[in-house]
Amino acid sequence: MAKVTITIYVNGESYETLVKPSTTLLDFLRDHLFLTGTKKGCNTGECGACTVILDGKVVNACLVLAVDASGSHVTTVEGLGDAEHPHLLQVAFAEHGAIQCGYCTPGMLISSKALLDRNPNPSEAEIKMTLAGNLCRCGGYLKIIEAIKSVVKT
Amino acid sequence: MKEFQYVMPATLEEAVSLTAQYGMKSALLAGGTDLIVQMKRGLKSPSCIINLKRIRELKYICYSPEKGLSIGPLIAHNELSEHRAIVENYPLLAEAARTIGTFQIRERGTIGGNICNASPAADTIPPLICLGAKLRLQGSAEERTTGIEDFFEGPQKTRLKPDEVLTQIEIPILPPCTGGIYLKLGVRKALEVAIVGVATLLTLDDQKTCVGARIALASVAPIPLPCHRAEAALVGEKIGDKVIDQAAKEVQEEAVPISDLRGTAEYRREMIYVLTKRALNEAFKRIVG
Repeated sequence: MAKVTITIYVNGESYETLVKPSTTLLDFLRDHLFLTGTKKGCNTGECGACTVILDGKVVNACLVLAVDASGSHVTTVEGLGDAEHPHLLQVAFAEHGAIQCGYCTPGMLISSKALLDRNPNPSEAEIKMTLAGNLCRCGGYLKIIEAIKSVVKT
Repeated sequence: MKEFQYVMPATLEEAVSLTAQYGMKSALLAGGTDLIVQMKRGLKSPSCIINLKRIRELKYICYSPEKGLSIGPLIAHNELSEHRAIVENYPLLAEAARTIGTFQIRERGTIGGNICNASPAADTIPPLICLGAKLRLQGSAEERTTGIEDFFEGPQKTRLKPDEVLTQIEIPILPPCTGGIYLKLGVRKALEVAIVGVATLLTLDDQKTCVGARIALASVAPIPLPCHRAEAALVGEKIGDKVIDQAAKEVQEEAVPISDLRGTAEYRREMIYVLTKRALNEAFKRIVG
């Protein structure tokens, strides 16, 4: 089947490229752009490791076709901050021991950043409900929630 | 995933002509939260995917106190569950949408997708049945309207013709003194497929006698199940423990649950009784306060 030309804006940069229609946004980010911060966990929308922001919405990149994201704006964890200029949430996660193996962390950061953008003062219950789609197999939830709450207080 | 052709029609007319052209070999793409998973698992392998998301006329929410609610199929569950007109006037539908999947899934998954994917466990369908929803379907030759109850044939099988696209979900105005609820039973509070789901809608007169009753269940039959015998048992009765108990037992009789990885038929039968009682009690409380 023919490849399709797409133009996607990722973390403020525009990329024009050819992809097979079956390429997911997740595979495009990781394998074509080498932005490997976004992780592949279950690949079926149940773990949230691949969470990105797509046109302002928090989505599982494994369930979005790259061709469907043509013309769209994507923010990945690389777009949140880096070692020189980390996002408040990244600092909080590091300081609170909210990172164990680190695999859920990018998804957790994206989900919590989007939550705070929508609601700067969420309750613990709201944090938990919003993060229900981000699984942590290390069981690190307590520290993750503490890290988020510490940012809420500031 | 097997490779496929990808098309993105700009208008409904274009979409319908594509579905007519490709028929059963095509799949309509809305949010993709069911379709993409099914394709990855090899359960579906369309040779053409028709992405509907460019078609603006499929994405809207219109409410008026005279005409009721009209929703386009591309409305995502989060948007639906937060929309003021739906929260205020059809709260059981907003509740049901909020129980689906996770936040990420609800940002993309759509009501049209939930209906047309036609899982017997779909959460928005029992409330839509109780609300008397009508579906508008556009084909290449004609447009038709069908009651949502008549839309389902079996698990993941609808009466949508190969050349048709769902274009509208219409819900009428509810009579005064009407209240309803959707209860979903699951092992956890998110990422759950209902073990049993119960939607109820009651209408009372000023003597607190039931003049209208709707009950519909998820996950207890090959299709989302309306329970008309139980409804008939409630109409004309004063709502109380005995009447609710009888209705819940009637629902147990109408349901045909199976045993699967989420629960045994026996467990489901028991939960049907418990949840129907709970839902009827809650619906009643929501009316009388």
